[in-house]
Amino acid sequence: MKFKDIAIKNFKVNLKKYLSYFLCSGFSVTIFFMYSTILFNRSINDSGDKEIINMVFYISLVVIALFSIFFINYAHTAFIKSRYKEFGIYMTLGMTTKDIRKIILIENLLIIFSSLISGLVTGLLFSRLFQMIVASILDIENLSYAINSFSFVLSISLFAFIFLIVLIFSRAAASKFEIGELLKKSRENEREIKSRILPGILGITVLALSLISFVCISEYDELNSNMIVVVPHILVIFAGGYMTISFMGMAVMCMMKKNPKRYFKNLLVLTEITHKFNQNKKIIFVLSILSSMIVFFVASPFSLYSLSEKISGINQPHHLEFASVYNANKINEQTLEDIFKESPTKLKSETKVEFLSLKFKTDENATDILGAKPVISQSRYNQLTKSNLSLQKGEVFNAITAWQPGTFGISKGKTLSLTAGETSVNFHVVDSARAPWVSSGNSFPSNSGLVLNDGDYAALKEKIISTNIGTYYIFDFDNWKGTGKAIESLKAELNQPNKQNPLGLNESQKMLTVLSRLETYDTLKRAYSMFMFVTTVMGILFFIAAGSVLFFKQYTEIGSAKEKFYKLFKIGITKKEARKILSKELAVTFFAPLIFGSIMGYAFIYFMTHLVGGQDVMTEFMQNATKVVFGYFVFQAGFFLVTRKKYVGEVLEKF
Amino acid sequence: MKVLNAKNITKVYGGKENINSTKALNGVEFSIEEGDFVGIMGPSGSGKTTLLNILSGIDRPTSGTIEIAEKNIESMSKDELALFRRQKLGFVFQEFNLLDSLTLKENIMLPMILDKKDQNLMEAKCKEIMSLFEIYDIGDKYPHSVSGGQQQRAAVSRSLVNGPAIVFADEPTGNLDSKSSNAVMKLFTKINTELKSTILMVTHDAFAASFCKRIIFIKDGAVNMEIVSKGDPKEFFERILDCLAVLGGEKNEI
Ligand SMILES: Nc1ncnc2c1ncn2[C@@H]1O[C@H](COP(=O)(O)OP(=O)(O)O)[C@@H](O)[C@H]1O
Ligand SMILES: [Mg+2]
Repeated sequence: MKFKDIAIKNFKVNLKKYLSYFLCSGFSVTIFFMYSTILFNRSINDSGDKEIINMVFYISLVVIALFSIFFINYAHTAFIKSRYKEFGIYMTLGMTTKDIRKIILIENLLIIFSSLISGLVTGLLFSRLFQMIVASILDIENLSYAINSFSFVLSISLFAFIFLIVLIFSRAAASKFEIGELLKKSRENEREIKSRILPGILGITVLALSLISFVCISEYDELNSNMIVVVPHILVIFAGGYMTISFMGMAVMCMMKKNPKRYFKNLLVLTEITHKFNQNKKIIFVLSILSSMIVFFVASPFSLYSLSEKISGINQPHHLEFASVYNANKINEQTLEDIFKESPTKLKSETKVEFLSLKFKTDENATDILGAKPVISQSRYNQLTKSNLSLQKGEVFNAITAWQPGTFGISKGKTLSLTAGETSVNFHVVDSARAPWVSSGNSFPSNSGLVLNDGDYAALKEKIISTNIGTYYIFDFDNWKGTGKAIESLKAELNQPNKQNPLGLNESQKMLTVLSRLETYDTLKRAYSMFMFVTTVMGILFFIAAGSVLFFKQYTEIGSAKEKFYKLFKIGITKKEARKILSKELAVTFFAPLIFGSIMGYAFIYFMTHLVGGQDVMTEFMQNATKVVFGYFVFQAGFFLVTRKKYVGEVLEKF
Repeated sequence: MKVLNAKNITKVYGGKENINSTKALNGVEFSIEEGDFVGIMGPSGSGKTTLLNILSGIDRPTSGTIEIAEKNIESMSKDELALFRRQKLGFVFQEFNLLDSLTLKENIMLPMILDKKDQNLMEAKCKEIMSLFEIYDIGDKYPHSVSGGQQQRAAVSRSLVNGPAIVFADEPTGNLDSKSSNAVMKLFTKINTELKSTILMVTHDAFAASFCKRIIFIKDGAVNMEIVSKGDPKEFFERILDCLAVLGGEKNEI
């Protein structure tokens, strides 16, 4: 009998073990292939939104690829581990590690080929349905079903690469096999737990402190955008989480021992859970991270989507506005009146605010989109934004309006020089912070606006050429959802080449667009639904990954659990008692990662919301996150109940 | 007084009608008096483990009645049986049956812990028995860090901790070297004479069996013969070997 024959024979015997590895690989291939067919579908490239759609699918593919690497590697490792005993026996009987490596290679090749082929076939079968669903979700009208050979090439090469890596690692691991180790590992003897309180307390302290500190830095723009501050925080949170998972059980046990009555009453549950955590700390840690990702990735776009209306109100506080400057967007009162007269919804208020467009300079070499900042007088600013700034002569306040983090090169205490015509004047920056602005930051595109003392403002206005004196036009209506017609007419009017610009608009002028709540809302909603599509896919993938990891874990533990509970059965544990212990243990494994993950997920959401300046919607964001977390718990509870039924049934088979 | 009374016990594995069914026990009948130390011997596959499991309520007989401490155990529900086992019976197994995740002391307390006994009582009882068996000092160690002999002594301690009506032992020396076997068998003799415990032990080791007061031989699922010790272990050992020879098969293996 050759080794090839042995391998083939084993393949038949161990079918169940191979099956999970095969399914994981095949599943990854199918998902990746289906997504890739959309990326290469030509009819999408002809549609309007091709860039954003391409990006959505590009990102999804990268995520799925990363997921596949993790997932297949995990399945493979679980598969090899489940066979330690078998390999140990082979080696006792005289096989060398070389022979074992040969067996592993042959088996892997068989699984890889079959899963790749069946994954592609399944993907092919379901791709039509998938493309139809995607087209309807993303509102792509002219999507026609197509399969491109690139999809095959890409999928096959990616998975060939993943499998190659997995194989190289497993071969390296196999050459280090020792008989004793293999046989011992397969028994998974439960190690003695050292009684130490300190590491557990330390772990949970580190976790709590780093989380609190992370939440605190979120609120400071200088810190939350600084990688040197943020990355170590995340790493310390992870480290604290890992320490807590590894050592908390011991610490709890130690503390319980001080009260023998309680300790002995819960002895079996306690030792069971502590050992499970000790054995599976890596898995539980990975599960916690996955859970935090699920919470973060599903909750963020879900919140954004359901808050589109509110966010569009924040981003675009007024219903319709534009800035008239640089000879662009010139319009007379009569025309405006005519346009609004025809609008189905009535004009409620109209504001005009004068501003100066000034070139500026700082030591930090700050720049802005149009190379200039809108400048407003303090009295007008205070009046319109209901603030009470009081700037002295020579002082400037920088009101940041962009959603990106940071101060954009204008820092508190530094000097800012403004140029009007021929003269430059230096100003002292009294503050540079997020603050309201008289108009939306984008009607005159800039990441911040400046406020000056009234005297300084008047002096600069004297020196400036008249085309750089602009006006913000701001309109509000009874019902912003009915402003479509007005927006359209206004745009048509403003975009006409006029007397000042007989040749059409130049680049700067083109950026001075008409902004409206309605369009902002439509764009946001569209973008968020795309965003949601990508992240929900990620969330689902992570959920599947977390579920499979849990499933494998329980599956591999059935044997030892059965043995253990049979021992207890013989000395007289009742079925009810045994089920209670198993239930508690399972509940902890299922929900502890979720609790850890949710806490981290909340922290990340809080951080991200601050990072993008979304403090205004924080409450709603957290409420939505809570809905997602709740949903996740419900899902997990279902999963828990199903697993418990099967697992407990199997472990307590002999009862 | 009879502690255990077994009547006409049969056990068929794999369904009565099935062609593949095995008749492991075929009308076993015997009884045990209080304070007795009975050995059950027989060739491998003769149904010793099956018999012990049925007598102790771990497994169910196909037919027959078993009375332990005046209770009919085959009419009890599974949960009643579990409670009965931990309150009234003691067990010692070949593979020790200790939980790796608990210390020796915790393992010994286990039947009392399951029974929610008072903390002080548990500690006292545990200390008494562990001191008697000279394992009190290693009570906080885990099973895998002590020797097989020490593990088995812990298992014997556990079997006695709830003051059982009878102790069942299945090949208690099967995993031990001769020195540890000897020590464990002396322990059984000690608990039988000093604590007046009733013991039923299954073994195929004639040396271990020679510590018993009485041996029941079974073959092909039924009681084949019975011998009683006259108090001299050496002489008893010889007689056991003779019986085994008559029973067939196993003498050469010992
Ligand atoms: N769970 C079982 N299912 C089917 N047959 C069994 C089972 N357990 C034991 N047997 C059979 O019953 C007979 C007696 O087994 P056992 O009681 O283990 O013998 P002993 O302990 O004397 O070696 C054997 O033929 C064995 O194959
Ligand atoms: Mg046996």
